[in-house]
Order: sequence, then C-alpha cells, then structure tokens
Amino acid sequence: MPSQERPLSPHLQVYRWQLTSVMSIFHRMTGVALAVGTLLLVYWLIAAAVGPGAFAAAQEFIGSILGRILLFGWTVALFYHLCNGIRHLFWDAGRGFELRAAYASGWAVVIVTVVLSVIAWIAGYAAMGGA
Amino acid sequence: MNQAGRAFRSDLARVRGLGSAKEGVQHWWMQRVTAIALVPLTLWFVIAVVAHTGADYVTTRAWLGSPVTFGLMVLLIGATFYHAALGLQVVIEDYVHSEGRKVAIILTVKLACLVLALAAIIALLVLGFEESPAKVDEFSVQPVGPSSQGEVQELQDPSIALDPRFRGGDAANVG
Repeated sequence: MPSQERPLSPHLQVYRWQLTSVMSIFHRMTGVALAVGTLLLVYWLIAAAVGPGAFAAAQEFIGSILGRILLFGWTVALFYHLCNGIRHLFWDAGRGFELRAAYASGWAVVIVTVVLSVIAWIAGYAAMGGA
Repeated sequence: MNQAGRAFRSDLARVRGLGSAKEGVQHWWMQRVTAIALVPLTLWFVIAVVAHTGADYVTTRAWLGSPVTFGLMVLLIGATFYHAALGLQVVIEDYVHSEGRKVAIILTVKLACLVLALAAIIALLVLGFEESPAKVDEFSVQPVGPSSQGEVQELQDPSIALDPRFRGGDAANVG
C-alpha cells in the first residue's frame, strides 16, 4: 500500500487510448488466455493417449458450440500473441521504435492476426469437409 | 585492478551474481529464446492441427505417435510451458503487491506449468511408444482381427506380450 497519495500514471479516467498501449495490454491478456488454453491442449493429448472413448469425449467437447467459441478465441489470441511477439522481438533488437514504425507494425499485427485466424478456420472447415 | 587483497579474482568475477535479484537477465533472455523457438513450432502446430481437423482416432493417434510429431510436440510443450511460466511470473509480479501472496501465487503457477508439461509429455510418450492401432496390422506376425486379438494375446508367452510390436491391446478397443 502506498504511504502517500501520489499521482498515478497513466490516469485511466482521463487517459486517451492509443493503439500502442491497447496492443501492449492485449499482449498480456492473450498471453494469460493462452496459458489457460494449454489446459485444453493437455487434456486433448491425455485423451488421445487414454483411448478412443476418452478421445471421442474430448472431440465432442471441442466440437460443441462452447468448444468452438473457446477454440476460435484461442486461435485469435495465439496469432495475436505470435505476431505481436515478433514485433516485440524487433523492439528488443532496437528496431522500429519510431512512432510511425510502431503504429505501422501495430496495424500490421492486427491485420495479419485477423487474416491468419480466418484462413486457419476456413482451412479447418475445408479439412473437415474433405474427410 | 588486481591489488594485494584480491589478486586472484578479476573485477568481473567479483561482481558476477551481485545484480538486484541475481536472475533478471536469465529470465529476460530465456523469455526471448523460448519466444523465438515458439515462432516456427506454433506455426507448425497450427498447420498440422488444421490439417487433422475432423480426423478419426486412428489417424490422429498415428499422427501424434509418429517420431517427427513426437519430437516437435515435446519441443513445443517444453518451450510453451517455460515461456508461460516466465510470462505469468511477470504479470503476477506487476499486479500482486503483497509479498507473501506474490511468492505463493508464483510458486503455484510454476508448479502448475511443470505438472501440465510433464502430463503432456507422458501422454506423448504413451502415444509415441505404445503401438498405434493403425500400425498393429502392419507389424503383427500373426495378422489377426481386432476382435480376436485379446484372446490370442492371453494364450501367448508373456514375454512376447511385453514386446510392443506384439501388443494388440489397443486394437481391441477400436470399434
């Protein structure tokens, strides 16, 4: 607890949102969401190892409406965290810090995330249709 | 530099390990190393999973049990949970301010990451080393159908049953 009433920064009530800061907090949120999502991956792997019955139950859950919503959310979170993570790696190398470059890479991440998520789901449904 | 009292230690040796928490660089560096490793691994994983969407049990199991998939999956699981543990630690450190609770939550999260990673790897070992039902027919000396496989196995020498190539237990479960 702070011993004095010091001003907080950024002050959220009067803060003008920017792409850069929103994307920063989204990187954290998607990271935490993906960590939670590993539970499904581990469950799916264990189900496959246990046998056809357990695997069928796992597939049924993943194929349900709730399962598909969760999976779609994790697809978007994964591509976002992946793309924005690459953006962070460039920053770690000391590149792309100029305001214009930071905004350009930010919008690129948003667009690529949407495109890759849509492609992955179209390809997934195509694979199911073909099977 | 090397004066009388500390003649045998270089300046670097004396300061090494004396940073604020003595592990910050390692944490930062491994987060980047695992991040770079995860770029190709996640891309491979998503493409492979999408390609196997809607695949039946035998196909999925054969895919997960193949040596290349096994190796890449173990790397993916290792890098993912290492990266997750490091990332979650930073988030907890930023938002949990009570020292006792902070340490307790970080330890719990790290333990959970370790347990999940081990569980996934054990599952992968089972998938990789227990004979896949899809391959039973390929390698069995006696090509017997799945329905009679269980009975045949009981009559065999127990040492043969230990050889994974002769184990048909899973085939009996497939409808």
